[in-house]
Amino acid sequence: MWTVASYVLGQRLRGRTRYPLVLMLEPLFRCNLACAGCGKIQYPAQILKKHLTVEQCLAAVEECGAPMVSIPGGEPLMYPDISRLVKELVARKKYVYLCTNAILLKEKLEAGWFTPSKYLSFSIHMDGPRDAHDEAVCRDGVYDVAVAAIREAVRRGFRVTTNSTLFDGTDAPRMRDFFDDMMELGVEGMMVSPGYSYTKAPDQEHFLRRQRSFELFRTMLERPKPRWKFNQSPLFLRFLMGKQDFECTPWGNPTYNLFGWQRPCYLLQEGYAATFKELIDDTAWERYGRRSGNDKCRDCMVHCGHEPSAVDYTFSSWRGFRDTVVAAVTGRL
Amino acid sequence: MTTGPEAPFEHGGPTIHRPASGGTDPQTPFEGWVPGPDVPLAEVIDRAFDYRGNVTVDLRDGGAVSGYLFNRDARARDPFVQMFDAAGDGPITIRYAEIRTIRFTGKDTAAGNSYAAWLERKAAAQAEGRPTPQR
Repeated sequence: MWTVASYVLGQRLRGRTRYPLVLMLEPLFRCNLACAGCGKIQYPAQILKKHLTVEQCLAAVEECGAPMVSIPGGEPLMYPDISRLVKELVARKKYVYLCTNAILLKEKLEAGWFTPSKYLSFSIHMDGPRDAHDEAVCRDGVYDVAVAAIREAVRRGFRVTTNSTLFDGTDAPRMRDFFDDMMELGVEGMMVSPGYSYTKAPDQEHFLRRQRSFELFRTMLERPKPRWKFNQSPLFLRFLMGKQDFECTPWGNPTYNLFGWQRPCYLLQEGYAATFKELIDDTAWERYGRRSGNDKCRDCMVHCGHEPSAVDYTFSSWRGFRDTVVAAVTGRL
Repeated sequence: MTTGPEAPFEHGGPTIHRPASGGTDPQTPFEGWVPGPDVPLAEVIDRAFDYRGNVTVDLRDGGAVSGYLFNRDARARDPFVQMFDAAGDGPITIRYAEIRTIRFTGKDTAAGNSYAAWLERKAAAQAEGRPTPQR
């Protein structure tokens, strides 16, 4: 919290209106799942075989300067140098969120690839209760594997969070039970977000539209149980419930991968910049976000664009700060 | 959309953004498409950028480069595309001015393999007592 607060305030004192909060670092596109809602892995074989070097990753981290680095993919545990990359990032005091489906996690933990650190969190992909998760990832048994991996990571003293992407048809009461189950496992916090309608994703019918998102998140998060911990801005959760409005800040979670710096955001893919500076300076940002009228942004409520907005609001106004503190202290959303 | 391998693009078609790993309908059959001479090069390049398979860029000097076209910048002072070739080497930068046309020669990795098809296979397997097929 303090790291984020001091970073955001520092950016604002320098007069930077467009600053990164979390670098989305994709070292590879290869994955051991082919989830219905994912549009990240559809590439020819020669692209799937490639990955960034650790040096390329570190250069991007340096260039971007964000205090947090999220490592999605592809499946980052399939990246052969993930152990060294994480060590280097931790040594640089970057807060690392290693986003994994956890299929390989237990094996890698047993092999000693990682050391517990306050800078390292495993962010486990869990899209809901067993049947819902296995259906979302299009493979039976993955939920149980992930649960076993969470238990093992917690037992070994690692920080563990969950990351749930929700689609139309999500059963809100069952999600509340799922939150209980995750807290029971000992995870430190949970993250939730509506899915984004990747045009290349195989499942096009179940993405949430804006109004449905509000209804789902209101039903799911109204009267949150005190034991639930969300590793997210409470104002972002209020945004998902339709109680607060934020415009997207697509530069908040910039994405770097094999192709360069992705324009304009983690979800849309309209070209690549060679440098982070070029991404920030030369992207036509006014063409994105709901107010721009861009169809592709109309229903998007995904955390990579809107959580940075919530965080910026928290630390750029007394009202934002007060609302965040009140929500954090009372647990009311 | 009426476009496909056999049909040149209709002018005035949908605006080509590249949303979320693509900008075209996943079912659009671009695979195998060879653009006709009436399709503007800029449009062909945008479609190639949007395509999730390998393409072959035919050059004005008679050469050709096959591979995955991952970037294009039409607003640059000297517009260009960027590719990784079929062996994964690159990036290779090619100026628009050097390109004669682009053929959609590789398999479209985003096409088919739908979620609905997986659900159907799963239901059929369960009805027959077979193990659930995995994607």
